[in-house]
Amino acid sequence: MNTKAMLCCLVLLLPLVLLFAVDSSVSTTSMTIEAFKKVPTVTTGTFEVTASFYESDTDKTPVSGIGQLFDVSTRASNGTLADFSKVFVVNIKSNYGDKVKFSFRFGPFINQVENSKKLKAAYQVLTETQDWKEVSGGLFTTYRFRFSFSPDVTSVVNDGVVMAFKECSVQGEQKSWYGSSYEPFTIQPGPISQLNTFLEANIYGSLKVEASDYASIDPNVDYVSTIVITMEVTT
Amino acid sequence: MMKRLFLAVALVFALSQVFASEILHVTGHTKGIDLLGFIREYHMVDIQPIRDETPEHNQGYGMPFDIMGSDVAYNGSDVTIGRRIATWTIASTYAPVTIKVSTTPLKNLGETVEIHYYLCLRYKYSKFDDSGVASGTEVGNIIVSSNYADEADEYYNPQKVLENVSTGTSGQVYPILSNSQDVRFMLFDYPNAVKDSWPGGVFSSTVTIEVVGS
Repeated sequence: MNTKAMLCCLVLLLPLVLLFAVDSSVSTTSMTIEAFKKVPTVTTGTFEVTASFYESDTDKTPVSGIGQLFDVSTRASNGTLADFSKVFVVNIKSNYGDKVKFSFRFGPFINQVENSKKLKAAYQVLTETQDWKEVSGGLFTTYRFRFSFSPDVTSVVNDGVVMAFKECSVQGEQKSWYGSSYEPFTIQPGPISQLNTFLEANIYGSLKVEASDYASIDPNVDYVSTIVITMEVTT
Repeated sequence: MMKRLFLAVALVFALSQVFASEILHVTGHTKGIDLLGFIREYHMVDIQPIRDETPEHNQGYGMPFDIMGSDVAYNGSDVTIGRRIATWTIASTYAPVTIKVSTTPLKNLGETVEIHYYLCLRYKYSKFDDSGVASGTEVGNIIVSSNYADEADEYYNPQKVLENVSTGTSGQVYPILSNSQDVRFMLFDYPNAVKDSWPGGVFSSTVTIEVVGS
């Protein structure tokens, strides 16, 4: 076969190749079905707050890592507080738009030798909005979420057991691969956010001893209060 | 001379295929357009999910959806009415065609639970008489079960053949075009105790549709 004949064959084959190049006898497509189940989650945690009363400043030592010792001299002057703070950490696997409700149950400060002796106290609860936590949304989008607490501060006066409530919600933003900053969702990622983050929140409290109780305080024993925190997640 | 002429004709033919989309002619101040096309055996299938972006996740429409919702609960009298989660399209000049649908059960992220369901794919396309005039529609459902382990299930591994032969006597075969028809989802008949035992969280599964020409 000479060169011209070969070229001729190739030229003739070209349209045939073009004719069948995109033809197929099978066509396939697929899709992912996405579903979810909502289940309210309830978690309960308990911790104790201890206050000790000492006769002089020189006796002060940290108490269970829960804040400041009561200062007798200060108490004597203005009947002030024993401040404490406590960090509570809960693991929430949550979804965008979820509501998280905390309830705090405060008990009295109880004399650890004579349980019948109790001190009135004032509590203050201050929880903080959490830092953003990034969650990969695939090749082109990054999400970030955070728990945002309501800004109010709950203050209760404890005389027995008192309940307080506080709510927060899950906020979300997204950033595309070409974007320089996060923006509110243009397309809500739905409940499949893969959000699995730790919520860390601080409770700050203070024990206020009323002047009428001064005389009943035994400086040789600890006074302990129990705080129960219940967290409920609703979607 | 004849060889050269033949070569030239073949070359022109080849180039005409390369550029065989559309050719614009300019003649004086008028313009015309020639559409060059051809008929070949062709078919395609596509499925598009319906997104439900509302925080409430409306009943009966879109994804994602709550598996505890009444709109996806089993309805023993009719498995063709479930939540509308997608639309699908099939086009074919190649009838009859065989539609194969396969599904996997819904699984949670930890794959500790498998949830089975029915999927109903509705189809609807025009029928024609011997003259090529539309003379009605063909409507039906392809129902598939995700429980392939249960071969006794009447919807086990379904294959549906669609065809479009003239409503007259000629036997002429016409194309099939079923565009954007419903894909509906319904759970198996699970007792409430079983549904309550399912863990909270995210579930997903895969649907695959295959069209095979005859």
